[in-house]
Amino acid sequence: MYPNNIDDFVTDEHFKKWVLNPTDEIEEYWSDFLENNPKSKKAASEARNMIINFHFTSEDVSEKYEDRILANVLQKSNPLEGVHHKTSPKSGKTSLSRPRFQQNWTWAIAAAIAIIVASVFVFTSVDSNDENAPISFMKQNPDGIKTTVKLPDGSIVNLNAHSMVKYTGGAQSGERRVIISGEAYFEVAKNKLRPFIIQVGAVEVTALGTAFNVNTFNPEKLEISLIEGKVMVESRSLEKAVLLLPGEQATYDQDNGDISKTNFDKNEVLAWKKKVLVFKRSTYPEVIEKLQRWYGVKIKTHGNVQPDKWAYTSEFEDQSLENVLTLMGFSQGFTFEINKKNVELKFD
Amino acid sequence: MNINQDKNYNTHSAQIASVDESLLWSRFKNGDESAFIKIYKTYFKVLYNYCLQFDAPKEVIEDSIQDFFIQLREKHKNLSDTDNIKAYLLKSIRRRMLSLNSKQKFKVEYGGHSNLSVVPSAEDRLIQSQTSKSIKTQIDKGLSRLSSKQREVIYYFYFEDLSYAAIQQILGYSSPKIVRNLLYKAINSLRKTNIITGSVVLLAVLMSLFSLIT
Repeated sequence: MYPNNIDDFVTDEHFKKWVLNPTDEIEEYWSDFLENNPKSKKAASEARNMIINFHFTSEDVSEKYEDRILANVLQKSNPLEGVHHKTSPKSGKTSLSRPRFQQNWTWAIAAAIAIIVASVFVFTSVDSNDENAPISFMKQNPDGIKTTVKLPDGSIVNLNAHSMVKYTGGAQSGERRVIISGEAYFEVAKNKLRPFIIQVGAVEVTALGTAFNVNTFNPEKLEISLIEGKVMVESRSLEKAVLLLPGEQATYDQDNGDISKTNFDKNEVLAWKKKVLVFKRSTYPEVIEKLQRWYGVKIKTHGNVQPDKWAYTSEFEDQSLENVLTLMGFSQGFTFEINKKNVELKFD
Repeated sequence: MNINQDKNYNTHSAQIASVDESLLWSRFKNGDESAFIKIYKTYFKVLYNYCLQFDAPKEVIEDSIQDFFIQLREKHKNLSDTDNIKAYLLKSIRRRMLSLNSKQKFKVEYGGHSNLSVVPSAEDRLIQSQTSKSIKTQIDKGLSRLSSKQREVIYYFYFEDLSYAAIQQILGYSSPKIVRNLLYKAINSLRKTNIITGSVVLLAVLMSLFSLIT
C-alpha cells in the first residue's frame, strides 16, 4: 500500500526519513515515487510541512559544557574493566585479561584523546559565522593548492587555492548549509526538498540540484555564475532576491547591497577549474595577487612599475610559474628570479 | 499502510549502521574506554535535550545525566546487548526522569527556538517564509491539546528521527503497530483541529505551483 493522504505520508517511516535525514537510496526512491505519482505531490508537500514544524524545547549544548560533565563522570567513576576479569568463570586463563596498569594507560590515553578532540572542535568553531551550528565538514586550501571534495550530502565542490568551504546540515535542519571564502564551483546533489544554501557574507544562494561558481576573492563584488539548473541569490539586508538561469551571473555590490544580473563568459569563469590562468585587462596588483594565490608564492617587486599602465590580458593553460613569468616579462618588460617560494620581479 | 516491506530501501546502510552500533556497544561492555567516550560524545546532546522535555530544573537535569553516565559505567559488564544505542539510552534515562517527576509529564513548549524552517524550493522560499511562521504556531497550539504520551511519540519520531520499532522498545509496547496507531491518531486529530493550518499550507502550495508555472 502506498501512502495516499496526508496522514499516511506524515506517519510513514521512510517518508519521514526522507524529509529529515535522507540517504541516497531514500532520496532516489521518493523522487521516483513523486514523479510517477504526481497526484500525491500536494499531500506529500503538506506532510513535509507538518513534519518539519514540530517544535520541542531544544538548547545548543556547548562542547565546553559537554566536556565538563564528561570530566566529572570520569572522575567519579572507576576506570572500565574488561569482562574477562572476574565475571566469567570459564575464562580461567588470566592471560585474557590485560594487566591492571595497562588498563589505566588505555583509560588515560582515551581521556587525552577526548580532550584533544574537544579542543580541536572548540578551535575550529571559533571563527565560524554561526558558532552553534555543528561543523560536519570543512576543507581549507592554502595558496597554490586546488582540490575537489565531496560533501556529506554527495555534492561535489571544486575548491580553488586560498579558499575554504564549511558544510553543516543535520537531521533536523531540513536544509543543507554551506559557508565559503575564496572561490568554489559547486555541483549540488539533487534533493528537491532539502535546499542547499550557500552563505557568503550578506548574500545567500539557494540551490536545488545545480552547478554554479561562487567567487568571493573581490570582497566588494561577489559573483555567482550559474552553469545549469536554477539558483536564487538573496541579499539579506535589502531582502532582494534574484533568480538565475543558466548562463546568468549575479553580482552582489557590497557598497549598496544591490544584486545585479548579467551574462557571463563560461570559459573565463570556469578557467581555474581547468587549470587555465586567465587575465583579462588585469591591473598590476590583480596580476600579482592572482599569481601568488595560484602558485602559492610570495612576490616582491623591485624597480619602477607603472601600475596604472597595466591592463594585462592573457591565458596560460597548465603552465609553470617560470613559463608564465618568462612570457609576461617579455611583453611587460621585467626580469625575474624564483627562489623556492619567493619570487622577485625586477623592472628597469 | 506500511510500504516498507515491499521496498528494499532500508537495506545496506541501515544494516551496516546497526552492526557498527552493536559492535561499539559490546566494546564498551568489554571495558573499552574509547568506546565509552565515543558513545558519550555521540549521544550527550540527544540525552540532554531529551531531559529538557521533562519538567525539571536545570541543575536536576545536569545531575541526572551525570549520574546516569556514572551508573552506566559502573554497570557496563552487566548491560544487555543492543543494536540501537540511542533507543537504549533514551529508554534508560526515561525511567530515571519519570521516577524524578511524579507528574510524568512530557511538557509542551510554545515556539521554543528551533533551527527547523520551511524551505521547499528555491522559487517559493520567499512566499513560504511568510506563511511558515503561522504554520508553526498552529502546530504548536495543536500539540498542547494532545496527550503527553502522544507528544512523546511525536518527539521520538520526528525530533529524534527514531523508527517505530525503536519507539516500541523505549515505551515497552508489544508491537511497533501500537506506536504507529498512537501516532496516526495524534496526527489525525492535530490536523482536524488545525483546519486553518491546512488552508495556509494549501495556499502556500498553490502559490508555489503558480510560481513554478510562470
